Amino acid sequence: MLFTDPKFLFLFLPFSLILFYLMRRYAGGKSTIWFLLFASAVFYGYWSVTYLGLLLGQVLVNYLLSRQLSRSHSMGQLWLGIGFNLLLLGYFKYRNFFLENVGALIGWHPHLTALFVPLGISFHTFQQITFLTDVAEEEDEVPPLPEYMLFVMFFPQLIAGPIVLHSQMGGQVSAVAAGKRPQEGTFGPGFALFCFGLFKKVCLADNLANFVDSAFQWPQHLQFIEAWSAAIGYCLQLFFDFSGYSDMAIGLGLMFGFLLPFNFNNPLAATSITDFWNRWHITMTRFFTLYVYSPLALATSRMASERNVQAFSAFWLCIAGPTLVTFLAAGLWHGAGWTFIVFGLVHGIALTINRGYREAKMRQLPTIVAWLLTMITVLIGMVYFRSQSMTQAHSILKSMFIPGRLALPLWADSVAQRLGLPVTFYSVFRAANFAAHDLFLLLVFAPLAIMLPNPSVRPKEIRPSYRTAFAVSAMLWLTMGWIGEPRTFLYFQF
Amino acid sequence: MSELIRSDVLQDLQQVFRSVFNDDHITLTESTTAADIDGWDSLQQIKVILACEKKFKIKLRARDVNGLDNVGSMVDHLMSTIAKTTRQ
Repeated sequence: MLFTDPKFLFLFLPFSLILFYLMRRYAGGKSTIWFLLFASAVFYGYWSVTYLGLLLGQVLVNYLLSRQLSRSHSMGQLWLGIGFNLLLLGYFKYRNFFLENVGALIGWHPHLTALFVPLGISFHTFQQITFLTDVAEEEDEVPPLPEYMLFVMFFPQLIAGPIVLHSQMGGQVSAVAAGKRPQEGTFGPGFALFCFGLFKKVCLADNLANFVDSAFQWPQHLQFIEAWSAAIGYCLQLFFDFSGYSDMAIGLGLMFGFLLPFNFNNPLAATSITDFWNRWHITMTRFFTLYVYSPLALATSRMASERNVQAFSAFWLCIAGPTLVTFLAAGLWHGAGWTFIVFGLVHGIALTINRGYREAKMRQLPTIVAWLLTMITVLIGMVYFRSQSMTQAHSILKSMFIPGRLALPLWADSVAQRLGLPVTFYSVFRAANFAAHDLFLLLVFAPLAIMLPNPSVRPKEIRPSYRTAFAVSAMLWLTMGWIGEPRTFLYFQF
Repeated sequence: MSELIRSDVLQDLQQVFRSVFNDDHITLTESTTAADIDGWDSLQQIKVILACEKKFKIKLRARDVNGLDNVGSMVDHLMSTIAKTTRQ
């Protein structure tokens, strides 16, 4: 079920909310937890009952594993547990990609049926891996089964995050289970945040979709400005889509009285690539930093200091290496494809350069230059991220950086002829659906992306003032006007 | 066995920070957080951990310092790890 689907907005959500509050008041904590689990199961099962079974199975196995780990604290068993989860994820997500590439190497071309990737598997698998690790390292205790299941399956964050750590949510779930008094004043802010996210998704992201989709469908026809517009347009679309989804997830959580961690903090205003990743998909960055980068960097740094490795090699061993490995993994996590791997590589290399620059204590760049460099890097990454193949990505990047021919609108033809300039004319922009309208959208949406507030960072500060009420009603009115056919969230495919 | 004094651990930790961040003006209090120290990120975290290991002669894990909210909790963790190590 999509958050933008009328069935969700007008049926599932109101009923779940009403029943949740009734159960919490009259039926006690434990039944409330079971009800939320049931609602989440319906939410997920609406898409596929078979894969609901798979999800339940995986959750149960992980629960048993965590019980075992809480007794043994064995690293060997932890690795087995992580291996099990990654294998499951790998099978659904990467099997075909792996077989195709291995096959290409050895000259075998298997006929592979498309495997349906279970919704949200990348997110909830990672969430469960963090719990196994925390339990094995004695950082956390195993709660009763229904509480663990809710931690994984709570429907606001089930499909596309935020990736919640058990330390952030476990206490809140047990408070509900114990029948403690609910927190006051979370519903209003939650609702406002939900409307804000909905607005970003329906009115901003989806309006960019037409142009961006067409541009990336015919990348070989893109001229210089069109290529840049496609990249910028996609970056904006992805930002509004995913931050909108995250706002909705956090808003929904709050409506049920749960505070979930925020995912975005004005990333398009970042002045360094490191800063960017501290502001974009924050819960994913945190996962990779805590569970991949830091342990790896610590191990290599220890090795470097024991063997007295000197400056240059130490940089490669302790900084560049772990960063590149982490971001290759992060890229690959997004999808099974070379474009995702290169996306990860682009960011890994950029981060390594950024860190090297700081380590070498070189002069700090002026803010605007730093911002431009960061944004250009992000856009390059986005082109790979969105393109359907490496060839497409390279064709767009070529139009962006080595245009060769000057692209002009048709009416400038006479001028160009007289001056003898090498010209071609806008093709994608000229087609019926696009042109000035979409360029205008970009010009308006780009500053919006930087100027819009980030209420998900401190949602409880959303006050019930006239201003908020006006903003929420305006956003809802615009949203209802545009809602039409619900488009899937871009991050659902990961 | 000499008593482990909290203020001594804090002093030593402050020295670690001063050397890792190359800034002799850094002053640590129990409530100092990452926001108070310029450039304290995951990269510097690693250096801080390794320097602490050398200084206090203990073994730490990445998550030990990553997840701690402020210097006060770092000192708590260091003291308990030192106590555990000397007990063995």
